[in-house]
Amino acid sequence: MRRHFTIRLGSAVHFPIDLRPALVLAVLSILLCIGMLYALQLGSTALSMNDVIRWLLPWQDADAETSAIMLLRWPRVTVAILAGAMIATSGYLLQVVSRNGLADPGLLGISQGGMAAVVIGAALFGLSPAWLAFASLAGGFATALFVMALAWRLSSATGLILVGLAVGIALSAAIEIIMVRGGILQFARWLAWSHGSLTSVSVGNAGMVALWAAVLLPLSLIASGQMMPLLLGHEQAAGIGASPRRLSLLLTMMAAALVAPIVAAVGPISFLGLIAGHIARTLVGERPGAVMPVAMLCGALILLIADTVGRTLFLPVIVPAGILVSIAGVLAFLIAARLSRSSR
Amino acid sequence: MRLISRLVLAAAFALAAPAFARDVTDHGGYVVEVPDAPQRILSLHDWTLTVMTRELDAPLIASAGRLAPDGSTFIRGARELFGLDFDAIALASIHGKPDLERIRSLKPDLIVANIGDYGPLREQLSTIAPTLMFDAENGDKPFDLYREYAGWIGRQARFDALKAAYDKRITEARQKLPKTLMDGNYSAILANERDGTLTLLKEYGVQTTVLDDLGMSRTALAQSVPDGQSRMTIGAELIGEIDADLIVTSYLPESGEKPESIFSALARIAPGYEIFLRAHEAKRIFSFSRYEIYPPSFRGADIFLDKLEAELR
Repeated sequence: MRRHFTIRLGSAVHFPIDLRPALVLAVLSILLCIGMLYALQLGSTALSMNDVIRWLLPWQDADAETSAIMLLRWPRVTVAILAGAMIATSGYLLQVVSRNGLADPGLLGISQGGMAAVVIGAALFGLSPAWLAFASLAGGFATALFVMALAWRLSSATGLILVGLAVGIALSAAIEIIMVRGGILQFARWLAWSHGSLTSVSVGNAGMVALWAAVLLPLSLIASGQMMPLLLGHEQAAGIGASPRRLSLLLTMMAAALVAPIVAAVGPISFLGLIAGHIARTLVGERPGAVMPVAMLCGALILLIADTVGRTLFLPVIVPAGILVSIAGVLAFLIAARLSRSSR
Repeated sequence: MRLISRLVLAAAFALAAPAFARDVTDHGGYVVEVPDAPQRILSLHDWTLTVMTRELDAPLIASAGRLAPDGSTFIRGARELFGLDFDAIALASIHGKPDLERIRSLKPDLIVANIGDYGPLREQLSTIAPTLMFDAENGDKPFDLYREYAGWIGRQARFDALKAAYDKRITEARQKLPKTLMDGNYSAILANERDGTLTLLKEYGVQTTVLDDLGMSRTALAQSVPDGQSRMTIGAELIGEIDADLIVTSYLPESGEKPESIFSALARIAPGYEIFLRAHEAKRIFSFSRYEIYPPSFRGADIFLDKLEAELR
């Protein structure tokens, strides 16, 4: 059976496409569309699928009731999809850079760096929400640079993870100190945010995340074409003419930029980058050009399902998506660790 | 016919307009246009906003509630003080787990929420109904906050009547309680067994309000709590600094605590505390149900005074 086909545009332009990744992408895209429709339909207020479809079609008039409910649902669904894709991309980039399948923005301290900047910006300097994404970006960048600088001499992928974990723990402790000093109410607010909930996502948040996604997701897809040499290791990559150190630095910065707006809008979502990357590699193998888009769709689908389940299955209790993803993530983490040990 | 219907519509708007005539600046600093006399108030904080709204006899249609260990829901504070439950009003959300769609489906004309839990949701809540953010622990005195809140929802007269009755009760209590004690000082604390610290309370519902109004003074450490804050966490080695003629604390029944739990908590946090606290020697460490003394409520103040009088009799 053929494993790939080629789209030819004239005699000069050829697009070779692997059959398996294309099939996986098509199935995931269909699942994501179905998931999005159900996420828009399900909630505390009952809506029929007809109402949802009528609201989605620009030439159909949706009734006022449906439109009002959708004003609460669509920003949340949009952010779940985009945030899932961005966190998954960030996680996969870090896994390639560190050559460690357990890497994740949370494990490398990048999420905590962003959180610390958001907390300091909001609690100490009273930054407005519009500036929190940039504060998170600065915090994420600074932490990524700091972790990479500390891990540079260790020259091992495990060293990067250990340094990242240590920096992450130190930053989490610093955040708690700031919040406790700010009083019990501020601490309660911090606790709610730190669980990674999409409840407080607004239209403005959705617009901000969409803007970042529109720039960073295509850039990540382009970058995935250059990432193959990094899988060989730095020495071998340099041997075939690549610049692994420069590329690693760029990809780490990109990973930090991908999680920055998400941390600012919904708080940290732990383990999603790890789970999505693993599922994607299991589905389509190791080639970054194929793994990256599949990881994006997996991340989007996982966060969308987690959020929809969290806000519909346990009513009247709303469970933050971050908690459900963390539960799934811990299981995935243990399985991944077990598999990586048995493969040695 | 069309002209008549337009005139009817115009008249309806003219009549409806005064319903949104007041601007209120809430504790988040937002200027919110609220109904003059709201008819469907939804509260998102049970033991402050729900209690005050109920006591002011304002039209409360729904409240946030808590989950009991058996899975049932209850309204903390309002259940104990007024017997209010979810047969009488609707459940708006579980505390800390807001469900915007449920809130919207209840069609409130005014939402009141505490800024600590709902500040980030203000934008979305405001798309449902005018939303006022309340900060119960901004350092202001509880009954000053209560008066302010009564003004927000147009119930100032009811507040004034309740306050007058409370002032009368305080005057009577001053005559009943030992004068030496009323001229002394007090500490209001919480013992945090989990991390081995003590919380010194500057403002804590009716507990501190009543003791202040009775004329008792505060310890030097309590006076050092920064402006704009209602409490301060201190280490156990400062146990001697909280000593006073009277020490009051509270317990949370839903966590299985009892009035005597404070003594085991103090023994765990600061072993040998008995030596440092003359209030212990004088048997003047009292613990009260937090359901009754945390809410800013005149009913709660009455219950607190009843229990205080009984303890000191």
